[in-house]
This record gives sequence, structure tokens and C-alpha cells, in this order.
Amino acid sequence: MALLEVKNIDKNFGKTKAMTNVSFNVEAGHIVGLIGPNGAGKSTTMRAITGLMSYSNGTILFDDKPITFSDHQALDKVGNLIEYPAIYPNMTALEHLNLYAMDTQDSADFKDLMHKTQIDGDNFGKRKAKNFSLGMKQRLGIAIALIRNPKLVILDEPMNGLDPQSVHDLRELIRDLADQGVAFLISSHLLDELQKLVDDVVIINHGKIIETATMTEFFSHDKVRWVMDTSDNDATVQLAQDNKWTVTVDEGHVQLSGADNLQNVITAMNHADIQIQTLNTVTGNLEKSLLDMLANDDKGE
Amino acid sequence: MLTLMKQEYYKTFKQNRLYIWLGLSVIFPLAIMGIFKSQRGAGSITDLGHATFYVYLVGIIITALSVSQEFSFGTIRPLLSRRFSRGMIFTSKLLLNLSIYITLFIGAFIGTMIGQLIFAPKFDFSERVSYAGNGWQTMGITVIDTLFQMIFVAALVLLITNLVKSSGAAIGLGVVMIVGTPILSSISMLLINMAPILKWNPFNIFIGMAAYGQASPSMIKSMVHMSQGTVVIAYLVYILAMYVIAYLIFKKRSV
Repeated sequence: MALLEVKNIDKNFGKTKAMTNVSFNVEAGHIVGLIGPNGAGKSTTMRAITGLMSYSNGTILFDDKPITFSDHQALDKVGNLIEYPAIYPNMTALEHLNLYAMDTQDSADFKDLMHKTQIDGDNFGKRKAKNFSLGMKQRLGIAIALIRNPKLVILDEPMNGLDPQSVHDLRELIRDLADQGVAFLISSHLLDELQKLVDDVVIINHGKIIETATMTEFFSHDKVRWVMDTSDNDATVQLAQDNKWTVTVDEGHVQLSGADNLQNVITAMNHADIQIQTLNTVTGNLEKSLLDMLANDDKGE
Repeated sequence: MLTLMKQEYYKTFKQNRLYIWLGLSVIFPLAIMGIFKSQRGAGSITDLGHATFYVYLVGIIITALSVSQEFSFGTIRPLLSRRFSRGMIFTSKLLLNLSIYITLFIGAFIGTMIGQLIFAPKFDFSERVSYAGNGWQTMGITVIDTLFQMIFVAALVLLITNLVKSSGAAIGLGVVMIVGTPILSSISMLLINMAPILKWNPFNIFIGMAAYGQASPSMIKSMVHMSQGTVVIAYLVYILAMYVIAYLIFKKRSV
């Protein structure tokens, strides 16, 4: 049974449909990427799950307990960081953790959490949050989301304002927690980062789920491409067309896909006396796959 | 509920302005009585050195900020996305505000007592000083009356804050309710003369309550066209209605 079950959720803002029949699951220990363009319904979905917004139809179950706008006791074990960190400017990082840990008997170890989210340095100490940089606030927001030892953590753009080292460390932290059974639902526009992190993807567009899959399943649709420099690009293009492979030439590089395997390509090029000077294999790219999928969805395919 | 209250107090005690406001509530009556010799008599002392005005004003600001700041800091989201119901969260805010009002009154009382000892040591609290009774009784009625007015205006301030998610408009309206009472009174009387049913308008009820303890029942009746008892009941009904509406807006609001 899934830890979080979102079933057939609808949400309208007046005549605008913000969510239509949204359904997906999040399993314990899985990191799920909720992906889509601006205005697709990602934040609306996250708000509905965290009891901040009503929905008209469907059900949301966490740990088999319902979450609605008016009744969300189940949220006791759900941490979240939605849109931007919720911070009181006149309190320190430690005071924030004290505050948010008050409503649980099972809070995370402060020292350990502060170390893992890097809010234990000299910069934090006695400084009020109003003096924090964007990245510091973001790290504190992530620590707040984790302070109550949640089973599910919902993070909306968690990498906002973080430097590359912090992004790397956050990725490690999320992966560690997921290995311990914590589930994550993460939305981010940094698709390269998301690709390194998530186990499953949920693609949303115009308030509708257009794909739910594991990362492996998701990329199985994506064809392997070979990018090469050759002794004769025109002859390569002709050869590819003769073999019904897909071929393009971009800035002097030939991009080829649709062949069964690379060996067939090399053999055919040898027979045609075309020299391969450089060769790169390009596999699944979340950004490209997402853009292709959204373009197809927009065309109504 | 206890956890919510603990969290509300924790946040409040971390704000420097709370200590400044409490300190000023002690200093205000001292300053009034110290600077102005004319303000060392019964009228001033039983009005807590006129600090009731200060407590009233600060109370309204605190009420408006207690909700609007959660929206402006974005902290309303973690506040509402927990196991607690919105009713519990709303109630915890009300109880916090009420306890701060009472603390401000205690501060003003301490300042007044110190001021009386220093500047008016011969003042006798057991002497009859007003329609309400002796010095203690008059002071007690004044404090309770001011507290009830604050609760009325606070309901209005909460209502506006929840509607517009901004403290500015709510504080502005609260201040108008305090300093604009004479103007509101005149307008209200004109309206009642035109249509007697308008005696039930909230400003008329508010004015009737503001005069409680300071004017005789017959004078209040001639002012607001209803008995003192009716004023109190109408006042309580208005308070209840405004808090219920403020709560319903808070309950329905998506964040």
C-alpha cells in the first residue's frame, strides 16, 4: 500500500480548472519528482496534500488516513517546504527548530539535523533569520520540514538559492533519508538535479497528470542518440536515410538515432567508407523528454 | 491546544517589541502624571494615568499583527498544514491576544500605583470619585469597560485583517474607532433621528458601551435610545457575530 495516495482530485478556481482527476501514489522510501511547466498545478497539488487548499472531488490518503481541508490530523508526520521558507525574522535557526518541534514527541536530533542541513556554522549562531541570505533561509526551511521526523516530506523548489555544494549535500541528505524509508515529493525546475535524485516521476500539465512512471520506465521511451563527427557528413546523412534512421546535422555534428545498435551503424559506415572521427552516446535526458512530452500533450496527441 | 498556546507564547516572547510595549505601559501613566500636574487627580488615576488609551491602541496593533504577520512572513502555511484544526489555531490567537491585553493593563496599573505614590500620595482610593463608586471601583469599571471595548474593536480588526490579509487597514479602522468616537457618535445620532431602527447600528452600541460606568443609566438611555442592559446584550451579540464571521473567513481561506 502506498504511503500517500492521491485519487481523482479536482480543483477549480471559478471557471478555471486547476486540477482535473489528479491521481498518483508515493511509496515509502521513494523520491518522487512532480514535474511540469509554470502554472501546471504542482503547487496547487502540494497545497491540497498539505491541507492548505480545498479540493472538490476525490480523496487524499496519507498512511491510510484522509487529508481534507478541514480535517488533516494525518499531517502530523508530513513535513513541507512550499514555495518559500516560512521564517520568523526575529528568531534564530535554533529557535525555529525549537518552535516547530514543540508539537511532537518524536523530533529529530537538533544537533544532527543542523549539521546535515548546514545551519550549525558560525553564520547561524545567534543571528536572527532576518539577516540570513536566501540560501541560509532555504536551508533553514528544509531543516524545519525535517524537524518532526516526517514519513513524507513535500519540497517545492528545494534547491532555490542554494550553491552547488549545498545542492549536492541536500541531494545526499534526501537520498540518505529515503534509504531510511522517508518518502519525498519534490517539485523543481532544475531538471538535471531532479534527474540525479528521483526514483519516480509524475508529469503534470494544465492540471492533468500526463505520465506517472519510474525513471527507468520514463527513459525507456527515450531513444539512444549518437552524436558524431565524420569524414563526410553528407554521405552519413544519405546512409542514415537509406537505412531509415533518424538523422540531423547540428553545428557540424551528426545526430543519429533509430538504429538497433551502434554496431550496425559502425558497420554500415565502414562499408560506405566513412570515417568516424568522434563519437558520443547520449541517453535519457529528463529535460528533453519532458519538453517532448509537454509538446505532444499540448498538441493533443 | 496547550501546544499551540506554548508556540504562540514562544513566538511572542521572541519579539523585542513586546517588551517595549509592556515597558511603555508602565512608563505611560508615570509620564502623564509626572509631566502634567493637572493629571494627578481621581479622573486620571482611575483611568490608569490615561494609559487605557495606550493599552487600547497597542492591543489593536497586536491583534492585527497576530494574523497579518503570519501571512506576510509566509508562516501561515506551516501553521495551518499541521494536525491542528483552524478553529484551534484561531482560538489560540484570541487567547494570546487577550492575555497580552491583560498584561498591558497590569503594566499600566503598576505604573499608575507608582505614579500615585510619587505624585499624588494623598489620593484616597476609598473615597467616592464617580457614579461607579470609590477609586478602586471606578478604576475596575474603567478597566473592564476598556477591555470590552478592545474585544469589540479587536473582533472588527480581526475581521478586516482576515479579509485583506494586511494589518494596515485593520489598524487604521481600529484607530478610527478610538479617536473618532465623538464624530461617530454625532453621525450615529443623526442617523437614528432619521430612522429609529438605526439605533441598532454597531457604532451606537459601541458608544453606549463606552459610556458605561461614566454616565448614569438614564443618560446612556437618552444617548443611545436603549437601556444599559440592552446595550450590553447587543454589544455581546455584535462581538460574537464578528468573531464568528472572522473565524469563518479564516477557516475558508486557502493559502
